Amino acid sequence: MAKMPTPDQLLSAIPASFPKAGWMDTKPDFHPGSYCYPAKTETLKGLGFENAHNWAPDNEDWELPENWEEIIYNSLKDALEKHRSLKVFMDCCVRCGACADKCHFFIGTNDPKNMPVLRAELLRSVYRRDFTTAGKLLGKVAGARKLDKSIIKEWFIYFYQCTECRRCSLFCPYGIDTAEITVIVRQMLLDLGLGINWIMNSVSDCNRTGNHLGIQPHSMREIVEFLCDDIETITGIRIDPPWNEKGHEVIFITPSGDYFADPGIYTFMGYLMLFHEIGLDYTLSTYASEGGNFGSFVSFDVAKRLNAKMYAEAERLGVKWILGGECGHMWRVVNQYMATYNGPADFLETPVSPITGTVFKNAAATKMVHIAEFTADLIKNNKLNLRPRRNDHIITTWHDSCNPARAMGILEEPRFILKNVCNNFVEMPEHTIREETFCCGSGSGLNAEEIMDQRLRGGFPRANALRYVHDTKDVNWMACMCALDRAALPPLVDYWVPGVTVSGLHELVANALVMKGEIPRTMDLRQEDLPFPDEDPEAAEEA
Amino acid sequence: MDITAYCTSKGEKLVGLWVDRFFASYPIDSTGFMRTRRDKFANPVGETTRNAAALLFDAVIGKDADPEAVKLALHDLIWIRAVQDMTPSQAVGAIVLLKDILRKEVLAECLKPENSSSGSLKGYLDMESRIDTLCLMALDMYAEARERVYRVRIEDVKQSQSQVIRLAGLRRERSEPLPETDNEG
Repeated sequence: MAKMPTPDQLLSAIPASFPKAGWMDTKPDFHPGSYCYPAKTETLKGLGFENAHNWAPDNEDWELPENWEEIIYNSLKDALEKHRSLKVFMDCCVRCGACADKCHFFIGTNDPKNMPVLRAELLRSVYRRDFTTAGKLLGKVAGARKLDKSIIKEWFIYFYQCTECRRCSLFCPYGIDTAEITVIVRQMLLDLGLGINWIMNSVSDCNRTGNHLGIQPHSMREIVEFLCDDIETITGIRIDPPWNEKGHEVIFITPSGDYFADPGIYTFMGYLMLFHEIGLDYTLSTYASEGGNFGSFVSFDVAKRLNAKMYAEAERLGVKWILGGECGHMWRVVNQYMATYNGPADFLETPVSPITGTVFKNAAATKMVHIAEFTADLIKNNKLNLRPRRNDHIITTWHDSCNPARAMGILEEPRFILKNVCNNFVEMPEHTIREETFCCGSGSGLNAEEIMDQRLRGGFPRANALRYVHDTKDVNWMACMCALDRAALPPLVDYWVPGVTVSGLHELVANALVMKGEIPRTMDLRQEDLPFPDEDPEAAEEA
Repeated sequence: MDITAYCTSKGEKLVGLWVDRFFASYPIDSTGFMRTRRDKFANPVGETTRNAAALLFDAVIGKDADPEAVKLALHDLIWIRAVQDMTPSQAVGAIVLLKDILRKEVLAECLKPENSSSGSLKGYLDMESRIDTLCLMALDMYAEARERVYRVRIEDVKQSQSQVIRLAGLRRERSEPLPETDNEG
């Protein structure tokens, strides 16, 4: 008769046991929660991915096209020819390990395949086999392996466990950009018809309708009217933002999450209040209502297509320059890819702030200014009447969103703004902020609810640093400037650090902004009572 | 024999062995990092585990321990393991493996004839009971963590389209007739 296993045996927790197989032969496990839902066939077909088909990640057979090996070979060959960077990244890694423990997914999961070096090795091993002499001749000895279907599955699991945050690249002595490798592998998977629903549905909706939820223009406008109703309730001021109008100086483009999702809407209300107060000559657009480029998560070609919409709309409306909202990946695309995708934007002018006269020379190529730069300039030139006391119940920290921080270097402006609108600002610990910031764990389109466990463990290093300042310095607020952060950090905080509120930067700006003709403020943008409300001049007079 | 004093004297070794059992839940390629990177922000899983094990060990061997601090340490440990793709028994079970370690390292000493009269066996069994208590507490915490994950998932969906839901609600209101009222005035 068999005996019951000991607890040790049950848990397989024998220390110093060696794995039964090497990493090449250790296959990923597919179970609900370990993968994102696949993209719909019609969505992918509509975007021109001809191998789109019905499949399920937890099925043994992914029903790949018959010539799937040829497709992958050609796809990789094409990528290597097109992106010399990829060829360099494939060849130059010396496996020094500097990146290994820098990835938030590795730190949060302790799965070695989440070490950026090993994640890249998943592709590099195939590259060696097919594109290097040593790999062709020596095979496994040279770190090469033959492509098989299980490798495709491995790619799907691990390249959708990279948020393209580029923290690893910061520590790599060669600057290997894992984010680019991830995008290229996701593109190769799309060539086989394999994509994830949350990203590709959003890409499709942005492509056709202009925003990631596919909300029609009239509904979008109606939603913004709600937000204007809310602003009127809070401030007594009615704002009626222009839509799709020609002849304005500026087009304002922000991620569409700011229109539809909590708490992004409060940041959006903040933008509208700021523009109204300074009398900015601007228009919104339903056609270009998504700045966050979902295409950039999976394919350079799709990213280019979505990026082009912003510039086409700017040209159609005849604006002088583009003002961009608090977004993450949008800024990497604009700052690092736009010029080669769709540049030069000669039909636009180098941005000049109409309020302060500041010339944004840094935006001379892209003609697009980040709103944190714009607002910091307003504050620096004393153009805003701010009452930070309204935010005195808040002890805030600043989460450097990965892409603005690492791909743009925009580190000081948001801190400058925050310190001007909040009296209590606390930094999280060194090595978890600025260019070393930890990702929210849900970037690059991984904020799908079906992989919430993965998001929570990937975001744990961020939450852990937040928890420290919450416990030791009573921090109760975390501001950030990325729409994915605003979507992803609330659940993260709800699990790891309850008691901290997440917001965008301009929500706090608008809370502190004293607007001409407003009623005394008694509530914040969330319509919660202000512990330190404005004095009512009439009540003060009666007293 | 004072079992608390005896275990304290061997504490470093015993806690180290126990921590290894927790780390054994992870692939061996990662445990080197977890063991050696002593920075709570760069290696939060490793350091949280290590700190929790030290505190829980003191509680198990009968030292004075602040119940709230013990609860918090256990909570931090379990809430990490609850979202790391482990089975419930893996997430919680490494706690029970301390028994295995104590039986190998401490029990023999308690059973020595010269210690039989000092109540050391009772002290030993009390330690095991405290491990059972920790396991039961951990079970509650694990369940609470999983419930939180599901709640967070629901909130995530709701928040991601809050204004669309608001719009839908308003349109429904508009298309429905207003409720009848007796108020003529």
